[in-house]
Amino acid sequence: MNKSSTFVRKIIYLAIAGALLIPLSLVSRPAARGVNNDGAFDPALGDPGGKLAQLRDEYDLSQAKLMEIDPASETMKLASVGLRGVAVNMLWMQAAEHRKKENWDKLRSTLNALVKIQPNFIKVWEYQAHNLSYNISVEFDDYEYRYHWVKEGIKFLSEGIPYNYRNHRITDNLGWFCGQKIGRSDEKTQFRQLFRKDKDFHEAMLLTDKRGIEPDLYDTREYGHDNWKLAYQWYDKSRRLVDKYGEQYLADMMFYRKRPMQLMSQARGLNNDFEANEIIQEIWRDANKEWEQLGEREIRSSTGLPITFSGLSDLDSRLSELRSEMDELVPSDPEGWGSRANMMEALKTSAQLSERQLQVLEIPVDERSEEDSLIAANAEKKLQKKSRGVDLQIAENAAPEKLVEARRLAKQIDDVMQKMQFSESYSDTINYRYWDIRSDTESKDITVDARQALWRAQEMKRASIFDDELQFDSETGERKIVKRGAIGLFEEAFDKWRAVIDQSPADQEELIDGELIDDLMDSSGEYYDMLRVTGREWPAGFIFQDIIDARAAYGESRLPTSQDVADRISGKSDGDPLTRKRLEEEERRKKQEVQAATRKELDKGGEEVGSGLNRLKRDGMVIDADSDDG
Amino acid sequence: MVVEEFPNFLQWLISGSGGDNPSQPALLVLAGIAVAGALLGIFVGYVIASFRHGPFEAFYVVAQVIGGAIPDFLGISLRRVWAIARLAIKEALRRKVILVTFGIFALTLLFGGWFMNASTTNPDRIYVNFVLWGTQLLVLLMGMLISAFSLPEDIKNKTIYTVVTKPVRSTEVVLGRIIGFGVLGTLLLTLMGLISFAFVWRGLSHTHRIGDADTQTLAEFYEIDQESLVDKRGKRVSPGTVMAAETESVSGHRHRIEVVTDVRDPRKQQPVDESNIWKQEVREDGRNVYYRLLTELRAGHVHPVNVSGEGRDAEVALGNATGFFRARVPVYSSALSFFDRKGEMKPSGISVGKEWEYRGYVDGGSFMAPTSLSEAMFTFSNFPKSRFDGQDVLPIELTLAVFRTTKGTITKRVLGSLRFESSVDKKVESRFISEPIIFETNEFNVQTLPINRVQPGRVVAPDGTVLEEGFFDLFDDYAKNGDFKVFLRCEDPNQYLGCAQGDIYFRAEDDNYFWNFVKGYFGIWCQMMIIIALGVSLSTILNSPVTMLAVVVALVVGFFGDFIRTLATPDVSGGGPIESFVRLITQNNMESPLETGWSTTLMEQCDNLIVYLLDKVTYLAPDFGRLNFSDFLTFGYSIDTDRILVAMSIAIGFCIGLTILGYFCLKTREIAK
Repeated sequence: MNKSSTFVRKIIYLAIAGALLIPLSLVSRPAARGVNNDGAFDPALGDPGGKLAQLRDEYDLSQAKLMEIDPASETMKLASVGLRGVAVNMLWMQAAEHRKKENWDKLRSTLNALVKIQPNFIKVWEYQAHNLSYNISVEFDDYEYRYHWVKEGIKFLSEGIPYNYRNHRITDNLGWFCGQKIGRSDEKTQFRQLFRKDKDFHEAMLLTDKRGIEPDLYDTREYGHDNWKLAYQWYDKSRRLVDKYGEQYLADMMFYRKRPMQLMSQARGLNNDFEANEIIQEIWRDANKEWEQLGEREIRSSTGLPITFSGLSDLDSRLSELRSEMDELVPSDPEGWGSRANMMEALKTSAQLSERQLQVLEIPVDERSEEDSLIAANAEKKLQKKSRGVDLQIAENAAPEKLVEARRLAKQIDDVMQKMQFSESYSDTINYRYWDIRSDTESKDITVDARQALWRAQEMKRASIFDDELQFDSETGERKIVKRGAIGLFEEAFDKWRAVIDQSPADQEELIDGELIDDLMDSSGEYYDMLRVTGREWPAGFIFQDIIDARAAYGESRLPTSQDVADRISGKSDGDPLTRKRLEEEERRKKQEVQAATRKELDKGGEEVGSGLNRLKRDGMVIDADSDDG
Repeated sequence: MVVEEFPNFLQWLISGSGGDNPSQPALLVLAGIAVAGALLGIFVGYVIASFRHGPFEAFYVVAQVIGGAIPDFLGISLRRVWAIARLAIKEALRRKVILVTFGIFALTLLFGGWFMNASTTNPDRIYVNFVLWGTQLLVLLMGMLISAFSLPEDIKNKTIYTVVTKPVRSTEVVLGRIIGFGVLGTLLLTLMGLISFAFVWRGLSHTHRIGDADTQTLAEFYEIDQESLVDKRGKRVSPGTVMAAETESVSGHRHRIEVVTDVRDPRKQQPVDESNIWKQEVREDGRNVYYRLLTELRAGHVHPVNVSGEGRDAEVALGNATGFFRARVPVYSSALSFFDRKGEMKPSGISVGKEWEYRGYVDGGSFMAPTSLSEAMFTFSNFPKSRFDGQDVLPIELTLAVFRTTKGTITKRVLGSLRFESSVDKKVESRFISEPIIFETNEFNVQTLPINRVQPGRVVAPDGTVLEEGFFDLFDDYAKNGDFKVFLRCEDPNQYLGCAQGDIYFRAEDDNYFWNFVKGYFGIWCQMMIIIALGVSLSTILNSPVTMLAVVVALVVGFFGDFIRTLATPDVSGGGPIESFVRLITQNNMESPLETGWSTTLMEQCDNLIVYLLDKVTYLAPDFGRLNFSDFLTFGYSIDTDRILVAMSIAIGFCIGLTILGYFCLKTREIAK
């Protein structure tokens, strides 16, 4: 091989290499974001880049556009010289070690390096942000430091947005952290207080590239910045991301309930921290409006069926209509097998209705009491769930010329029932009806008035002024109340709350089972404590006695029941539920001791078994299977 | 800062360390390294000579080498060593490794800011850690590159003949190169150290202005509600704060400036520094009240405040950040022991279930049983009183951990107490017991408690009767014989306080920060010298890539020895490396027993062998952890002389051992023959 042939070969190689650069540059050309006249990014004006950039963009693998590239992140990736996986593992282990050895500053800087190498792995952001906000924060004894680390987690998570701007999981998590961690922790009062005035944090929420939240958007007038409103804004951002990019990682029901729930939480938080007023009332009103919008929104069930929470009554009417049509189309002998009446009767057994429910269903509708109506409604609900498929059977009894029409009707009925089942089940999952009623109730003036009364009573209790301040008029010989004490104010507040609960009997059941009544029971507890401190008796006919009795049946109340009051009046006991519980406990322990002693005797031998059993029978601890009582 | 070892150089050198991890006398170990170096060198030489001359003749060759070794070592000429060292320096400079290393270092500092979060709670730690880590990595890499390529390249290019044909001994060839590269590395390290110091200094220096206002006066201050004692952000202020203001945000943080009342008895010492005193009043009880302006400790530092003028128009100016560059000199206790709830002595405290068992915990009793006798006892022996001469107030620093079993009062930190007691046999002698000093803990922070040297207390006779009550001097009474005890208790029921031996100490006068920085870099220098010696020594027998690989392995083992040893624990979950691999590919969990059979037995036996070898390999490399002082610099503690001497001994020991190894390898290779 001579020199010229070597030279020619080199030239050919060079030409091939040069030629290959052309397709390479086309394939790997980075995308560029277009900027419109206002300086805002406009996708329409940008360049999608080469195939590789498009694929990266499609799968969210890395920053595909030139203006999004973070130099720090790219340098770190480059510096790991293809050993990104190894580097990530080492940093991950290092972070775990720093956490174990409580080296918080190093942990934070390790996490910074970690996410720079792996910025598109959402779970890393989620996991480590949770680590900071939830696990690290609680390691600190001082609540101010705890708050600092909660914020660190939030800030850390928000740094992930520019790298993953299409994904709503980060914004969803930010909503969750800002809402739940700040507003529901044990330290929520202190956290919310610090949050309101944390100017630096609010500035940080705007993020460096302004993709965050404007502080003004969660400023609640004189109450300042509110964490729940910030959470609302993050969830709102999630919605906008889903609307824009169409990538949703949560089921509709869970996804769309989050935003309005933050308003409810905000109003609840403000009610806890401040005296109720028209501003908080307005937030409740907004919450109610959003919640009802959620009710009207068409959402997809897990099977893809479109449903709405507010459409339940329409579906109910539609079901009745269709069933009437079916009954007209397939008339049947009411007494014969295969009739709707007989089938529904049979369902009562399979629906496992209680004795009481069966009895109530026998009572004509207009003769039912309020309580009966509630029991009947529950029973009918159960029956209706079970009745799916009845119409398909009825349709089969249709005359041959009407069979097709009957089957079509039966199918329609089945579809409606399926929708109803999904709607009910989803509605129960998110407690739709409760929150609808609650927000509506809280928006009313009467509730605001009741809340204000309770707040004043609690203020008085905090000042430890329990009794009324009286003034004796020497001329008339009468005593006048100059200033109401906490006990009197609590009683006034309870009267107002009773009016709130009683205003809509149809909604009462929902409210009684909920948090509103939990709070009232707590307040009743405070009232009870004050009565005990001042040496007074629990009043017979207390305004919430019915609720207390109902809760006591499930062991959920520490307050005196009607029975306790009756026992006290009759002199059976001192009327203190604690005394009752103690006596019950003693009785239970005695029984256990007797049983244990007997078991011990039983272990000794056959002859003694008889004597042990006899003693048990004598003490009424064992019921003889052959006896009449058995 | 986590301190797990409190070395005493002489004890370490002559009798070895005791405690939980007892070790052999270091002198013996270092001599062993030298002998091991010689034996390994002879063995390697014999193997090579066997290939060349056959096993019998190799024996004579090696014997000849051994015979000539002693004169070779005794006849080392410093002049020739220095000549070789100069050659090594020239050669290394020609290769431009030093320049490249320095270039990368400069780039790292230029762009380092991208990766550092200056708004953390302790930015100084991040900065110092960054420069130390970067310097260490680059210097060790540089050391490895220049030493691993030098001899093999010379041998390959036959330029070694220009040296070995001269009357130069093999010891001088090896030693000269180690010293030459060492000198070059030292120069580079010095340069990097100075630049790093300037980088850290410049990066952390800053000051603040008050809020966004143009006027920097007391008019910007607002009154503090004396009932709630919180500032306008809802944060608690220091006790005695009457007014406060906030600075603008710089480097991701802002400070609260507090006007704190400093009440003093006119008969006692009055403030020396008056630059931060706004005004002075005399109270009705005759005491002087000074209104002093202080900045809140934030991001690990404060700023000196200068006030000039009177009333609300007084000008306020903040100085440069102080508190970053410290070198605390702690006087640690010599022993720590615990007492349980019943008052029985235990070697360790209560475990609160943390994975990291560095600290033991004492409990504050419970509401049901409030009389817990649980406490931690720190014994101070031969306390160096002279370090605190002329001080009426002694600073005790604490880094305590808190563990709450109930949320308790959220707005209050858990309380602890300290008590002093004479360290005497209480059955024989009377002892002084002080009244407890109650304090509010500050978890994860270095908390300083100013302790009066004169403490109220009582003298208790061996039979338990109180002989005298009054005020007693800590050194003259409590520590009459130079020994005393400090007891730590938790004063909150249902809560726990955690401590380790290094968590409570008396703080003597600070060391010079720059000198401490130099000492920190001395640790890196020791590491570098070992790497250079290892590189030169191995390159006498191996080619460059293999030498580099061997040095990298030594580095990994040196830095991650502890981790590797945990992997080499025989009963580790999931078995040894082969078993773990099998479990991984068969998707078997780590706990389920494997099927018994010959394959499993074979696998387990192989694993046992590998694990055994792995464990032994970790002891071949030096423990670089002992040569790493970065924690001392990042947490602001002075590096004590004992640690420096230990590091130096390790470095010298390894360098000698590796020189001997290199000598024998080079000699046996018979390069010039």
